[in-house]
Amino acid sequence: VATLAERLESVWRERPGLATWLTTVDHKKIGVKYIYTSFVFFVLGGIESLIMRAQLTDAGLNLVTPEAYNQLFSMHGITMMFLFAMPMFSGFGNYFVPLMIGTRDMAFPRLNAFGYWLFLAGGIFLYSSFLVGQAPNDGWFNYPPQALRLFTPGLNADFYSLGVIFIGISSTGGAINFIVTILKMRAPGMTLNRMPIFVWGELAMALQIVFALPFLTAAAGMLMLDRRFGFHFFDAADGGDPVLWQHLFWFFGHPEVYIVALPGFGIVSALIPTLSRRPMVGYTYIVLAEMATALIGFGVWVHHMFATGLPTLTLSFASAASMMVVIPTGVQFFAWLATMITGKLVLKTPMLFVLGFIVIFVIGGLTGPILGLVPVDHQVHDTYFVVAHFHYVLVGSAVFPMFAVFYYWLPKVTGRLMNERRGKWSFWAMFAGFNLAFFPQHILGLLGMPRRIYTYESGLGWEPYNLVSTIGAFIFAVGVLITLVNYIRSQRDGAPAGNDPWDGETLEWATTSPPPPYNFETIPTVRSRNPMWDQPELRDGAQSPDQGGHALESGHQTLATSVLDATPQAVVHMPHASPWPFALTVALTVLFYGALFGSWIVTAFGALGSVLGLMGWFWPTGETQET
Amino acid sequence: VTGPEQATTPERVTRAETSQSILLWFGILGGPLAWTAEILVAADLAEVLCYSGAEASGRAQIYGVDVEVFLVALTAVLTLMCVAAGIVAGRCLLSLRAAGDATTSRRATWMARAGVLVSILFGLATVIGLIPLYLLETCTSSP
Repeated sequence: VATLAERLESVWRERPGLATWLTTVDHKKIGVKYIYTSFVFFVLGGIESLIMRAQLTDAGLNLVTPEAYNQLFSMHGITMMFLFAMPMFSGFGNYFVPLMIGTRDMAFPRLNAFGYWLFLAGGIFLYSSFLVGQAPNDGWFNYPPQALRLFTPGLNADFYSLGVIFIGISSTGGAINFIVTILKMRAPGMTLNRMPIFVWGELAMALQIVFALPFLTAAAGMLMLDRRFGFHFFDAADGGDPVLWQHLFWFFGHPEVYIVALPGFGIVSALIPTLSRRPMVGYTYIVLAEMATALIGFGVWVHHMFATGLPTLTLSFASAASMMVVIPTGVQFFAWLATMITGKLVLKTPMLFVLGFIVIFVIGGLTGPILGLVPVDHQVHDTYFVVAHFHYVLVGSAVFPMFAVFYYWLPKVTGRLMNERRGKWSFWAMFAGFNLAFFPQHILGLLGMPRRIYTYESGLGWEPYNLVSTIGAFIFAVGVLITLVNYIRSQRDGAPAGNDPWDGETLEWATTSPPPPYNFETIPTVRSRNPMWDQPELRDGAQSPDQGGHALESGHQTLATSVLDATPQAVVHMPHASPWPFALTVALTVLFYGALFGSWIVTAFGALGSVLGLMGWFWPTGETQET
Repeated sequence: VTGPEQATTPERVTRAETSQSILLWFGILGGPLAWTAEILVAADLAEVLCYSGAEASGRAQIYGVDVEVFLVALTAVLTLMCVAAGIVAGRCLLSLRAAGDATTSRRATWMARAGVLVSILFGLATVIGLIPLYLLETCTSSP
């Protein structure tokens, strides 16, 4: 007689091979693909930044042309925001949210697969611009009038506009999937007040994406109309208004900062209790702070526009809102510090990266309110002071928590622990390198060095700071490389991770490393905010039915539960592997390239393929879904 | 194993539970919605009115009412909304404390407490909007 695990394996297992790689809808495989792909883009964005730093090492260098420099800084920003930070957090969320909430997959597995393929295709689309020498060159913000056809006659801004629309579809679909998964698929008993804080962070991120991204998509569409069809949304000479672009862009762009930061905060909130050996202090305050920050993030976009001549009253509202963000952010920091001070710190590599995050983000956080003051902003606007500020905020809130996760959570993915000694070398190289690279940029900004210049004259006193900054950037890159080597070598000689190498508190540690295709033999019933610490039966393998476990072994099934109290409501039949998400992505890629090069035959061909792809996707297959 | 038939049994929701749920959600969302309205209406109204010829006259008006007066009234109403949300959340919190220790009650108590905290934060954020109205000329452009 087959065991429960064997029966579930036969239902959930996907046959290995290339076909499965293209058709899988397993959230874990999709999560890993997101993580690997976005790391590749992180390396590409990093190489772009190193070239820029090499160019700026000394006055008057000519390693790259001004045009190449424009493309490099634009693609660096686009890559780090759209192709690295957002999808990396989507990858972690894809892999770990279903495990942390005790379900067997995301709510919409095929939409999930579609989101990944669109992200990959969007990234390739944007990077293919280098092949024709016309990468986006107007910054990641792509301001008109510079981005209008008059000043950017090539395909550069078209690659940008179509690329962000492409990736926007991916991100929006993914965000909707996260929201539904988190609100409707939690294990029984996981009421809202028992939800892991990382999951709250992913929920905040997803809500922000759904409300913020349409503004960028709309703006990019309007820009395409201006550039291709003679519209004048942003053309002041014909009654348009370039400031309109800035409103639309920054209504997306500032929440984007929190889209990147809030999951990072969630990661920190996931790691600190486990690595301090005590429950989080102020759970409620942290959750509220995450959600309040997500909302306040929508009210501060005008602080990017202090120098555009808007009425002072408008500026003052944005300035006040910018100050407000300090309150929920500060609440989180004090809760983290209180947890660490009253706990027993485990100073392994993940904790070092968390501590590094705290130091770096506090410095970035301190310069934030400074820039939120209108008169100060006018002084340092468009200088390297701003560059230093947002790198402290973004690298602090995103990159350091991500590297903490590599050491903390990847053993769950691979079943192998990473080497501690190499991990600590990596941390110290990244921490020292980062501060060497970016702290001097505050001083450069105060000395008046503008952003986005490809070179500068000697005698302005900028050379020593730029030299230190460049050295720091390369040391940071060495730190990243050490972690990459560590990861690769850990696959061969890493110590086995076991189910729970960190004595974690949340449900992902209840299953094997790596988890089986069905995640949990039985979907557990949760009775605590720290289930692994308070429910010992979860450590002994599957929670038995008399303890509340739900096997759901009769098909490809999981549970749908209520939004507030996670009471079981339905058994949901989940879809199997499907080629349609990939096929639809290929058709959309054809459509977008057709639109880019103005070939309406190719565009029509892509549109027809997309329609056929959607028909195939939704064609009845006999799979049922109970509701 | 809890069978699908048990899992899909619909729960009965009483009228009292529905009204309590509405109050809890008002407690949580009232403050944030008020602040959002202030940011979206007040700040943008100033910008829009100041662009539409008000600069020439030096004064922007809405149906004959000076924009400053309108904005002060709007901020006052929205601040009251935050206060109301906080009071509702507080009353829910007091009534739920006596409701026992069931999972649902603990979740509802948590939401009520969250409502009080959120109303304080966003009430503060909303009332701060009065300060620039007193200190600044509405239609003065930044340099």
